[in-house]
Amino acid sequence: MNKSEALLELRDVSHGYSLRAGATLRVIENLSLEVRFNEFLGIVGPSGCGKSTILRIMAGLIKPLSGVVTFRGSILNGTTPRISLMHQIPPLLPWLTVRENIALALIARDDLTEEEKRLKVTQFLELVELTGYDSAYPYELSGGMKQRVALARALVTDPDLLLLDEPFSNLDPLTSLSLSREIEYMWLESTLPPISVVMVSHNIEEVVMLADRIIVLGSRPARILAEVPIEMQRPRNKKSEEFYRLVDEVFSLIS
Amino acid sequence: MLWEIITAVTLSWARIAAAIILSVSAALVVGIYSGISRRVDRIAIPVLDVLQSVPILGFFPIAVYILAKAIPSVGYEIASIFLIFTCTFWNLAFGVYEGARSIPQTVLEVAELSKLSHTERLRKIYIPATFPKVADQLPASLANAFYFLAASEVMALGEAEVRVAGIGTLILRYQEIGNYEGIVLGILATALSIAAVYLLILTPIISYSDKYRFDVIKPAAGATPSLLRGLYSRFKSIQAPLKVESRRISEAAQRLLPTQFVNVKYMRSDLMRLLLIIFIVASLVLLVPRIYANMDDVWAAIMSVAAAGLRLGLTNVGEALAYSFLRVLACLALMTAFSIPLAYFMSEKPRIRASLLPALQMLAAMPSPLIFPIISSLFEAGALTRELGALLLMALGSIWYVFYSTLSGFSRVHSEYLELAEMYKLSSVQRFRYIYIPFATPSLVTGLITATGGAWNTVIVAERLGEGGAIFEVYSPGLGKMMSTLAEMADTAGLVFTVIVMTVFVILVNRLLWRALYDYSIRALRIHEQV
Ligand SMILES: Nc1ncnc2c1ncn2[C@@H]1O[C@H](COP(=O)(O)OP(=O)(O)OP(=O)(O)O)[C@@H](O)[C@H]1O
Ligand SMILES: [Mg+2]
Repeated sequence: MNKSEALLELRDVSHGYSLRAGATLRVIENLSLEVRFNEFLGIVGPSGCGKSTILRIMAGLIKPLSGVVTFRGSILNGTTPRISLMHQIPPLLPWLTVRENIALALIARDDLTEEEKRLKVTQFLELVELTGYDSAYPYELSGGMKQRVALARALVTDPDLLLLDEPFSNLDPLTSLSLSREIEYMWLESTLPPISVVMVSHNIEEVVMLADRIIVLGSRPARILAEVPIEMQRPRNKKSEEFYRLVDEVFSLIS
Repeated sequence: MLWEIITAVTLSWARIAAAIILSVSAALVVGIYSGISRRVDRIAIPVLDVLQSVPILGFFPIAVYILAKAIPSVGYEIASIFLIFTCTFWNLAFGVYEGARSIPQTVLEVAELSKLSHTERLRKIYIPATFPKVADQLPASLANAFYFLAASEVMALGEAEVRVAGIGTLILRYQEIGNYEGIVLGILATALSIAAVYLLILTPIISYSDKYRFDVIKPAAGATPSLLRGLYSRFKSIQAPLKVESRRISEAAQRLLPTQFVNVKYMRSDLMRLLLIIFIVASLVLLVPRIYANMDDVWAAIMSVAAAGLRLGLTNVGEALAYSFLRVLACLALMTAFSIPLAYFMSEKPRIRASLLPALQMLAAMPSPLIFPIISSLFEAGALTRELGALLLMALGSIWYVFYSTLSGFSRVHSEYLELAEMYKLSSVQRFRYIYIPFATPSLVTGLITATGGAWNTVIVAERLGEGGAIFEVYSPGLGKMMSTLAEMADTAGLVFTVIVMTVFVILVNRLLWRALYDYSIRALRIHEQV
């Protein structure tokens, strides 16, 4: 694999937050990593180590204090519709219906007609199996349904890169299983977005289930402890010996 | 003269501080209990509405009279503090009320599940959760206290006029004797003291209160240019000891807060009902014989008020009321048109906000006598500008309620929603329409409710303005103009009639329009069901 195959690349990125007392909290120190084309990248690490911060940097929401972020070979300056982030707790607007919440992602686009936008929203409502909930309000939905609305909103812009921040953290095992299947399906299906996915998760089984490669981060400031390629066939069998071995391996790297 | 000014400023501040401490304590008690309990809500909020709508200038002389009789030594001081209280309390009370009502349902459920006692709930949830509202409203209260400073330091008691010592009366005296140097120095000293209080007390309180917000705009850290960051951290290190101090003060304040005083059982409905019954029975027992004994007098008084109504002409009063109402509405439109864009601009540009806020605070706190000359020149110029002058006078008395409430509403916008807007490249207008406005609507409505009360109160002064012997009045009819004319002719019955008309009208509008709008906005925006 040569360099040009990276969809997104972080080079020597460092970031910190200034605390109230005037000191700076170093969150990321000289981090370099790449997200390849057609790759499903998993990131795991202890709580508070800076995973959400890394995703925000990848999304162009935060400009790192130092280092470079490149997307498709050119420097990433701010956000782009080509990269979508699904927040850890998806911010749905309580006063907008499901349809309006998803359409919010397209509202500023002037390359699409209203009709095209409507069709796109309908298409993604169907894909996340929420047909019929168009005019429901977020508070009328279950946690899993809210998460799927957020997923539809993240995908409706046809992004090349989808960033997922703990997409399963608030879900029961069954719901998270079906959501993870949906995510995998969209990513595998070449006619649908996205090209590549970066997923942060505490749930190691889920990451092993989905990822091509897992990056294990150490505690703050975030550094890469290890990189584990997962070369298992898809669909993966949770009960297979290989699966157990991989989950164990990642577990022992973290603890 | 300098010494005289410094003493006066200090005295005024002492009174304002007392009034504000009183206002905050009362606002916490009233606002929180109305926010928690539907029952208290149903009683307290209408009572607040009524009290806020009663023209203060109308019942102030009575209060002064009673206080001066009861405690001759400090009666005037207390009366003055009381008047300041009446300009600082309402926005705080309504702000706390709004804060208590928009505590997320989940938080209340946690409290329910963990079986927190009422005292614990107050200490752990309600006071901390409404503290940011207090912090947000303090600047408006302070501004108002100064705006009405001169009015609150001068008390008319029948023929006699009593002035308590303070910067308001001092500037008034300088104006009378034409001591312009004194006026300028006095204003400078006031402005300086306000700036100092703003930077050293209010700013730390406001930034400390951020800790208690459910949603805060987190500063985009790391994006600060390094020079600014250097300056900023130096500023922070200067501020650090102040922070500790302010924390200690607020901890002390928390200990002092009358949580013990508000007895837990007060909330129990049976006790509440019992108290209410005792109160009603007692007042009946006390009042009925008296009323009965003086039945003729009471009857005569009622008749004369009714007669005054007929004498004034119901259509005349109605017309005057309609004109004043239009003025109040125009004034609200003016205040909204000013506040929303400015508050939005400041929320989008936190750095400009930081430097603009103290300046605005000083502008807001300019005592009203200072702008009278401008207003009266407007009044001299012609009919249209006369209307403008009246509007301006009304607006200046309460615009800060609207402005600070809007600002506080905008600051409730969670940073993740802003990231969403950034990701999907929402334009300023879209950001405003889909995110900021819905988030801020409850606060905006609260601000407007308070401002309406303020505007009705200033109608009396604004429609008919006395400045240095001359009297200017708007050409078109107005209830305020009518009241002030009646007061001058010592037509008590007529005055009482118009006060009743105004109060009833304001309450009706509050109940039918504003409260309904508030409840509607809370429901329509599903604030309680926040995801
Ligand atoms: N806006 C901010 N201001 C100050 N500190 C912050 C801010 N955002 C995050 N931090 C701090 O940066 C560190 C990393 O935060 P981040 O949210 O990236 O962690 P995380 O790995 O996603 O944690 P989790 O697994 O719990 O979601 C934490 O210690 C956090 O306290
Ligand atoms: Mg996180």
